[in-house]
Amino acid sequence: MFRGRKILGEEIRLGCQTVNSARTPTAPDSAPTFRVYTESGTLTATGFLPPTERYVVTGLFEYMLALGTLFATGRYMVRYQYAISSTSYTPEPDTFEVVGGGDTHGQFVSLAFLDRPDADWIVGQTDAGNTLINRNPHV
Amino acid sequence: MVGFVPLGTTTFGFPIQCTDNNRHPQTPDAAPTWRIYAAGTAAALLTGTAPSSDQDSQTGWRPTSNVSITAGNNFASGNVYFIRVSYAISAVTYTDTSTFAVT
Repeated sequence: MFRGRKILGEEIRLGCQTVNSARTPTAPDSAPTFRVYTESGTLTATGFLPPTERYVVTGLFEYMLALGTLFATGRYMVRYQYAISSTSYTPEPDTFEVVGGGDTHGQFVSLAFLDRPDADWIVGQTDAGNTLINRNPHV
Repeated sequence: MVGFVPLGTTTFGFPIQCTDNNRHPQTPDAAPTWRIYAAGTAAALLTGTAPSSDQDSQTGWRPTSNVSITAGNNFASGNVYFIRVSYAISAVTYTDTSTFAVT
């Protein structure tokens, strides 16, 4: 499944529904894993998928992957794997694309303007948790 | 669907995960083959072979890369194309299909 297009700094939703051989939703032995590859096959990111609505639905796992410094513009593939009673399963792989226009720091969630004798400054905090200081902003 | 590919891309890649009828990952008997079709056409625009061994030590993982989506290969912007992947596991043939759009 194509998961969509995002810019750097945003998050992309990854996930899978774990089923057994009879396609019955079944809780896996442990959290499913995901592996993200570039279009040329280079491994970029790995992780585990946490459960979603674990007390309402069975076997639904999703994760919001931050498109930070590990990523660049381009197309990516995602491979999932989980085990049920020690037998491995791999759901259909996903793909997504990172398009231009973003920044690995994410978007600013707060900004403050400082008028100092030496220069004007903008101090900002991003949703990635970084604090950035920019000097003499202008349009 | 795999995604959107600009016309002229020579590095297009798509995932191939070989599994049996129970979606258990399996190493195929030989390298999977793929064929790309335009809508309404009987003949494949492009064919190829996936890697001959499992990639990244992941069972059955054979992603294909460096496929040329160019006008010279008869691709055109605004069209949707179909990918058919075929492989055998213990002499049983399996096929997967997906699509992509050329921009």
